[in-house]
Amino acid sequence: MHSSMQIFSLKAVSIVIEALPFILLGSIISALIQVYVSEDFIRRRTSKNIFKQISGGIFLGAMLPSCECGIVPIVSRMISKGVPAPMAAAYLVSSPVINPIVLVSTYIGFRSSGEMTLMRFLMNIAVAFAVGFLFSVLRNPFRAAQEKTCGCGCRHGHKNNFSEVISHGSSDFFKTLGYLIYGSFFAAAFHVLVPKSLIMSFASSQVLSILAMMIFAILLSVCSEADSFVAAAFVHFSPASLLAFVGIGPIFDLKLMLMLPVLMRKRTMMTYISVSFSVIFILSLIYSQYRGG
Amino acid sequence: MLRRAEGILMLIFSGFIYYIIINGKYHLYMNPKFTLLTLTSAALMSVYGYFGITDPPESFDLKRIVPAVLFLLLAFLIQPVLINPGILGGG
Repeated sequence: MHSSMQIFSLKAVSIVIEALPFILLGSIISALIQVYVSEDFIRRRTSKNIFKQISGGIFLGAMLPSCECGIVPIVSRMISKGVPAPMAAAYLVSSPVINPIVLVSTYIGFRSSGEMTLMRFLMNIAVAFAVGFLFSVLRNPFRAAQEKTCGCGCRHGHKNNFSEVISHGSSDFFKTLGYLIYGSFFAAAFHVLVPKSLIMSFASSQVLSILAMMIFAILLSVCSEADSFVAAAFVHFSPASLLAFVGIGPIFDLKLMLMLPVLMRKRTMMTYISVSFSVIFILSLIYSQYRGG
Repeated sequence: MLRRAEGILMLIFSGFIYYIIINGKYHLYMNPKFTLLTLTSAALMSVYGYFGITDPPESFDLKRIVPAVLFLLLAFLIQPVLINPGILGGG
């Protein structure tokens, strides 16, 4: 019992420390967007074509990477600046994955497997398009009203842009940190309470192994920079199920479950999760068939 | 004073990170090659904390500070066990 408490504490604190640089980076980017990017700038550069909006969001995801921990304040700011919903949704999905840092860590984590890296990249693009088109047909998928005014509770009339960036950044950071902490508690509890033998019992079935690894990824809530190393440790599981693990984690996990309601209403969030989960599951099954199980 | 709570908590959090790095406990939480990255994060959090105290938000929100308080309690309470694992009798 006591050693479980020790493991729980260490695990929870480790998850937060690991994610800390990324939510800090996310808060800075969010604050810079708030202070320096105007709605007019966005309006002039955004196409009305849905396909181009989604492609733009994916391109932005590659150029402006963020861990899933730091993505929420950035997307929130984008929405408040008038970025179209499909573009913001595509960015939400792609940014934690299709950036050089994560792709390199994927390559290294899976023992220099170019195939797994490529499959992860392609799977994420597919999910980004699916979610992007979904958000193009949903009415007001993102919460936007509170962002019209300065919702951070800071004093207005800042002395200069620097103090405004710091003020917005720290407010976004502290809000995101709260959700991260609660998520880390859940993930650490799962790590302590669920025996590994239970997880291993699903390895032999094609469908169950994919489902089990997806649920495990959601509950474990590992950052996208590290998840390929965690996935690769499950040597008894098929490449398809490992692909599903690294596919779903950056899009939805326990941390994001607590952070996404800041961005979306519950109904939208459930639709977003269902579509992402389904696309990843189907693509993993197809990959499993391609590899012969 | 309450309006400065967020700034104070961020300073305490960054202090905790400095503490585990200086006392050689960082490796218990993370791979040591990420020390510089974590240290940079702590420095930025210190800046946030300083501004949170000198230029606090307009209002105090208890819901926002609860997770940070819980986390810091957990982080600091476990420290004596990490120094002396026998303190809880379980090793």
